[in-house]
Amino acid sequence: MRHGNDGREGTGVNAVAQTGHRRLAVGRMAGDRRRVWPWRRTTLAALAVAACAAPFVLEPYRVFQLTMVLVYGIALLGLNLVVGHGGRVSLGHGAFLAIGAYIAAVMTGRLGVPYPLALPVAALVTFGLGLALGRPALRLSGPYLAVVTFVIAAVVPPVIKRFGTVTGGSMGLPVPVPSAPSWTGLAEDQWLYLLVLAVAAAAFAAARNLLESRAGRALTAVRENPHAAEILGVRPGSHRALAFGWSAMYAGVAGTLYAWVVGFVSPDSFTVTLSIVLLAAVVIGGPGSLAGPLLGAVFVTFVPAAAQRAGDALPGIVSGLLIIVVVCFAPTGLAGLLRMAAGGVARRLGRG
Amino acid sequence: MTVNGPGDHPRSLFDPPPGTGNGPAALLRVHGLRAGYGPARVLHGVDLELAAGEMVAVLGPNGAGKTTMLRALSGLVRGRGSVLLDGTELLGRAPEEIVRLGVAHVPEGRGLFAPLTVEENLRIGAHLRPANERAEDMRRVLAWFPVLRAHLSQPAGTLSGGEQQMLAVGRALMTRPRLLLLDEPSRGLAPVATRRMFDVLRAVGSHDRVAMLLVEQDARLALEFTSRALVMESGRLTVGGPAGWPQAGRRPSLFRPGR
Repeated sequence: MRHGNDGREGTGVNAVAQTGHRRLAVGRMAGDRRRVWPWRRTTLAALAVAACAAPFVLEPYRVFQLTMVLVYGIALLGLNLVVGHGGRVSLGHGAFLAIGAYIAAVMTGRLGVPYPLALPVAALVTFGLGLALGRPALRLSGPYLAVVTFVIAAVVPPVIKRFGTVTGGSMGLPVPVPSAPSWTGLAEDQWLYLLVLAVAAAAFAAARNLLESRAGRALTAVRENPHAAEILGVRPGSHRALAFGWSAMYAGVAGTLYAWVVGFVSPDSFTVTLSIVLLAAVVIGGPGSLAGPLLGAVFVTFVPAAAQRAGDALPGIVSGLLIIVVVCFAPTGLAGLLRMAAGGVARRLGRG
Repeated sequence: MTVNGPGDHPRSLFDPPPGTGNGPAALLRVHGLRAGYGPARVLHGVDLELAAGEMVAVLGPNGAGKTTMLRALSGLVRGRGSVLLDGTELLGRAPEEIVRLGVAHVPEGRGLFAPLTVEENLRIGAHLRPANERAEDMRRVLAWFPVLRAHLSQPAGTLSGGEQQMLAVGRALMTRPRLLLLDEPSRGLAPVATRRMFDVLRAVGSHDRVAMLLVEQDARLALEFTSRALVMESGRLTVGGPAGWPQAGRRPSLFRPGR
């Protein structure tokens, strides 16, 4: 391992060897960001190449599935800011997804605005809403916050149905699917995939920068010990509210992408169940890690689908059981398991 | 017991409690400070004066209000009365403003951010500092606590107890305080580690003119390193005297069994 030689190895600086501190096992602690994988860049580059090549190799249905993984990944990335990094629960992020999706649907479907414009509008609106709701809501914690955010998720679908003249009510609203510019020669699903991939890459880069920044550090500090953070001059309330605003923005962006990819929005796509699935996916993926949201998105996209093939009643049971297994035996989620595995492989190969 | 605090000069027990006569030089003036949690009043009128660079111990039994006093001074608990830092009223201000004014607090149990690295913990200490001075502050703190330098990229939770305490103090020093509030820095440390810590604290205090208010259970240690000690009992600072006074033959109340 690059950092943290302990005394027994006898390779450390003198001061290190003397103090003989404990070395924490890799993958056991949420938010641990020690490097465990020596071939980080190579792996990331290979993943990037694979991600770009995927739509040209896979059949259209698989491309659609991968696109949905990325869409959920963006939403989960945002939710993870609140849950994983902020240490607060939100059962309401389906609502922001709905708002983002309906902004895209109304702007491009009803008003005929060019589709790329929906993205910044949805981002801004959901960011503002998240900030406005987060400020009062995040004074609460635990069950109280869960209830308040749950109400947000529960209220939005009926409101959408109520304003049927704009939103199409419970019938839903078709969304014109963005078509590829003719010079690219891409099929629709390929274009959508690449579009979503670009947004997802930007979203991940932004989240990474955010977490490495002063605000990100402050957010983690507030999660770990709000009082200690406060007496160092960090205002817990504003950092939590800001995190909620960012996360709502990610959900809004994901909602817009969802509308583009699916080509149809209806209130029934954004029920409370969606919010719960999102929260479960963050926990499964690994709260407080960057890879977690993506792994969580893979889980919610592929596991129920695979279970469905085995039997009609299985998706609920299989996902439920797997969630319990992950929560009990791998509290750092799939990302933590991956880190453990990577650390093990790196050690075995003698590069640790 | 050797008494070698910087402000230690022969003083009889019958002198007026130091601090009351310090005049305009006092950095911190606390008058009639009352505080509590909801209906439970903990502090019933604390009076205290502290000169710049002075190191004062607060002793007392559990539940006397020592920690509450520190929390009231740093704005975590709402207090009434008057707390003047260099003439500026601190009561009623947010913790963030109080940090800006130069009060740092090393809380009970250290309050480290365990998964964050040592360096990140220190950087959070510099949260309110101008960006161009952070590197210099970091150098300064690492010069006081060279052990931390070897662990900069390690999660704070993996440090030993002594190192964690150094990190907690170093992090507080990153705010560039004029007044450092220390809540039982010796707790859970080996005597050697505590002694080393207190040596550094004393050096910091005299070098950077940082005043320190030190809540301690270990009376012997506190009296050895501070210039004077106060005893907190039932929400009041009852006895004040120059450090070393327990040797004068009188057993202070803190050695009695707790209430």
